[in-house]
Amino acid sequence: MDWYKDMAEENFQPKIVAFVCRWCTYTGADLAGMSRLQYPPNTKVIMLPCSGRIDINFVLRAFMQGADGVLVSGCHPGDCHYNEGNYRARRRWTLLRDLLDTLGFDLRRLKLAWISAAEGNKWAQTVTEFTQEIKELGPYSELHELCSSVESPLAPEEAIAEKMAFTESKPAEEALRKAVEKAFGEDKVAKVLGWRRRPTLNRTSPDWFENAEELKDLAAPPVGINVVRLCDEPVLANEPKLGVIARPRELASLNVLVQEHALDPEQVTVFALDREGKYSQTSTLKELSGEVAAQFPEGQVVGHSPETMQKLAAFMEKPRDERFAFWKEVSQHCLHCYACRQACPICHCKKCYVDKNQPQWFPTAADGMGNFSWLVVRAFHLAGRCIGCGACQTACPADIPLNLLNAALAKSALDNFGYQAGVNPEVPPLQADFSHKDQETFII
Amino acid sequence: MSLSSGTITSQALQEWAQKMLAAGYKVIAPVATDSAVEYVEWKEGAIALDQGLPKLSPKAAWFPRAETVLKLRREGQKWIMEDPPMEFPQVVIFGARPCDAIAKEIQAVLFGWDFKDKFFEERSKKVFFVTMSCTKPVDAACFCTSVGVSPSGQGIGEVLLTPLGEGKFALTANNDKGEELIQLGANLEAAPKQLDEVWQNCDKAVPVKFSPEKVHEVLKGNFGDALWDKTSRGCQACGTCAFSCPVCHCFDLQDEMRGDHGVRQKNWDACTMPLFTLHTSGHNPRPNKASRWRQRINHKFYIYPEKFGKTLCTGCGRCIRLCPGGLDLLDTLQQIEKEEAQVSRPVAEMILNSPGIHAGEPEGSANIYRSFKMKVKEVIDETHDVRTLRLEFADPEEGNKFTHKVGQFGLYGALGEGESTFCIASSPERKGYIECTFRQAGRVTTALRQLEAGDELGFRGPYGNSFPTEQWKGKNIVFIGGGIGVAPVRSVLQYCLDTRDNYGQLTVLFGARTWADHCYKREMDEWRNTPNLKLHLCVDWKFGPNGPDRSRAAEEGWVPLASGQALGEKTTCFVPELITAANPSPENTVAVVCGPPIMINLAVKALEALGFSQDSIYATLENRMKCGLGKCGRCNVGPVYVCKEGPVFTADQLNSLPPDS
Repeated sequence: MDWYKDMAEENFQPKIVAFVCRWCTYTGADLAGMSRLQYPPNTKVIMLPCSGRIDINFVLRAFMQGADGVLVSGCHPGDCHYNEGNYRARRRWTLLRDLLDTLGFDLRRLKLAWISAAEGNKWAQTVTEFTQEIKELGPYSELHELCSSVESPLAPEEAIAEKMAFTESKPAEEALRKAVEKAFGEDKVAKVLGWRRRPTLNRTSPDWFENAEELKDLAAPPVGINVVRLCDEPVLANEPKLGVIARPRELASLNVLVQEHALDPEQVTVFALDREGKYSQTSTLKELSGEVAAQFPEGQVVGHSPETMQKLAAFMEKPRDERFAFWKEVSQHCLHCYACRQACPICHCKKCYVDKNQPQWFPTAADGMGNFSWLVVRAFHLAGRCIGCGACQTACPADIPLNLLNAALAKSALDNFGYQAGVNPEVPPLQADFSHKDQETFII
Repeated sequence: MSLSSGTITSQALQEWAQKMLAAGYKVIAPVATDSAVEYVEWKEGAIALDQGLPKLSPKAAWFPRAETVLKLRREGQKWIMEDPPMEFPQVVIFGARPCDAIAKEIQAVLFGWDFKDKFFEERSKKVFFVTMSCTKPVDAACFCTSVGVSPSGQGIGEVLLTPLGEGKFALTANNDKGEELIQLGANLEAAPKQLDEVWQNCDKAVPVKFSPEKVHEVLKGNFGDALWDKTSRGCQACGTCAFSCPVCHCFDLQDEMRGDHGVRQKNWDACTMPLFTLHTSGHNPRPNKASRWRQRINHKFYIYPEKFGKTLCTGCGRCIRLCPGGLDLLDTLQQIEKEEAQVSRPVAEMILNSPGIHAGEPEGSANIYRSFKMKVKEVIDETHDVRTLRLEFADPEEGNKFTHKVGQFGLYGALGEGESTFCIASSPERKGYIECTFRQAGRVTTALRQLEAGDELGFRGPYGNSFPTEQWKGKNIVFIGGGIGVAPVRSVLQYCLDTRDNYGQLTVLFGARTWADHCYKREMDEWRNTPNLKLHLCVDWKFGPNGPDRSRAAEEGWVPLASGQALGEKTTCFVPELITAANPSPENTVAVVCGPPIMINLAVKALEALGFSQDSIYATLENRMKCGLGKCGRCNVGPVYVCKEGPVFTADQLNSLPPDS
């Protein structure tokens, strides 16, 4: 489909979509109209109850359906009709901008503003200026071309983040086996999540163990799979005596589940391993949750290795269009198998947003638009939640360096909000919280 | 044309590939990437000819991940449907391993049976293989010899390359096309020595690990096996296994709009994903990992061989290598093989042997995914959430040619939103229109509900088998329907009323939750006035905290069942109870049943208790279907494809099927 080409005609008229809050900006725009202020007619305004309601998918969808620029605007801080909607939005936008920047998205095309009901002038001025800016930038053919591609190429040629391969399984160490055996003996646990050895390639499968005899198949934790993923199983969800064999990364993901009220920390027995996989202690999750902080002190990104962070830094040095070209290339190889989502210990929604079809926001085909959407949405839904275990990237059969995006968001959360995912289950999750001190230099 | 053979250096092979490019072929070849070997579209550089099996299969070359099968355009109230051009490039897959090179043939059986998928045909006609023998297995997950694929690659593809060591390869043309490729300029040296021994060694290097015949035998009867749960717990419910598999063929059809332009796309889909078979009602025939893992294995080693005579597996081992959850197909198969084959009732022969009905395709179109364009003639509200649309063909010519049989179904498409499967609810005797009755539940039905008279929509069909109304001549018929399930029953009833003289006593037993939920109320007077027709209705009412609200029912004239009294028209009970109370004589009588799965089961039991034989009870199943053409892989119950051999089954046939619904 080459519809986007029609839009790049000589006398270019930008298509701009504005998502605005009904209480301030929309009223402000009304005021501009009543005051007979003149401004270009390129902007189509969509009214929403609050800037906090402006889902990133609205923005994404607008761009993908042919917008050249998107304006998002709501009430000034302190003015929100619902008290805090705009504060929440502000936090989300910070994370979204950092994600889009990593993807090489042209951030000049996404404008964020606070415009009050009294600022008819500001509305007219903002729209005029933005229209002029987009006119100078020209049509966003780069993205539209990507989104109109329906060809599916075969396979990617390079991976830039570390490629994590599945490892061969080894039997679990004796100390761990003994500890689990003891817990079974004392009737502290009924089901224990761990790894079972599989014969053909000597690999491991996340599984649960129900008695001491089964432990002969217990394997040492492998690279990749995070066993916490299994907590979502119906047979385990309400298990009162659940045991989990956990490295710091599993512990961190358990903390996130506790933080999101998906798990009761007093019900879960943890067989803790250190970063090298050596058994250290057994206790309840509640008592052990602080261990993550000990492993990842303040100021350090949780989970992601220093190498990943260095690669991210090096990647961000590249010019924007190179970054975009890179993601354009790798995203084309996405198969839409959702292995990244399914392997993620934090993705525990009962129904994923991409599986909902009323309305269907998400394009399901493994073509340009579907793949790019998935790249953005998956990463963003994990902002402030991803604990950097890398299970998604290990699972990806197309070798897409998903971890790089996760690392970018982890860095954004840390730099902007001093937030480390999975460290403290007592605090509210990053995106469910806000602070009056959140920075907003990018909002006009 | 005589077929050449000779030896060739890897340098000359590379040059040969260049010549193919120059001759206009698209060349797909294995190339070493940072982390693995991958099939990529090759332009230049080193081809990784003898460096193991590429990570993913090349099936996207003939079965793309997302393929446009129809172009849609909206102009006001009107829709324009166009077939996308079916001109595809010639592709050579250069250095394909035998397990990949044979995949196309295995899939071709499915895409070519009954309805012909022209997209698959046209694409695959232009895909050629230069196969590369495997002298040794990649790892322990290779098991091609077990499923009858020879790693030597003899006879697979157009040209066969056999590594001879030291950068040399033996090259053998397998057919005329192979010869044509060689004539493009393969620089052949001396004729190769005898290759039989090399090939035999290839075969020997991959030990046979299980017997697919034995697995097939066991799978027939171990549906409820504990093994499924034990072996599938690590499943992540992603699609890695299916998408890396060279032969997995299941797909999804989606309409996707961008503004007024849109496409109907055929997208890869995977049976391991919970959404694959999820009905809009919330019912899922394969609700857990164990049942989905069973489906995957059954489809490959039981259903496909049973139906098409080929194992749907080439033994490449990718699903074992790439599974993020470490699921071990080979280990599972070996465990299955060790089990005793249970004696199972063979799936009723008559089901599998009954040929699918070849439905008419839209005239002038070779595209089986293209719909007829229909126009809404009339909108009839049956209940607050059930609506009947009376449709006529936008092109009256098509309408005149169109015929269907009682019980067949079609896919009704709210263009741009997707398609849904319902039966054709009107009698084939009533010409010039068809009707569909649907309950608003999901995306498509919501969009269909918004249509008004004069709006356009799509319809594909008729598909599936039908009720054997010819055989029923002279018999009495009992019509049993519950909820929205009355729609297919009504089409039979309407047909019998249209050909009233052919049938004896008609008994109509319809149930719904409340009177407000009963469909076709407007037709009941016609039924009441028909001689020799008994009408009994029931409501099972909504159960409140204190049981059914009988008092309110009584106000509307609904009375509970009472023994010793004649059964009136309005009763509060469940449908199976109504059957027992109505007590139709099984003598010279057939019963037609449709409703929710649980109601069908209980109704069949009630009828059997009255003395109905199993082959006089007919039910219609409507599983989730996407294609209706026997291709997309969703609706099967055991080896039976509901869209082809169904949706009409006798109770006898249903009993012979595994409980997969």
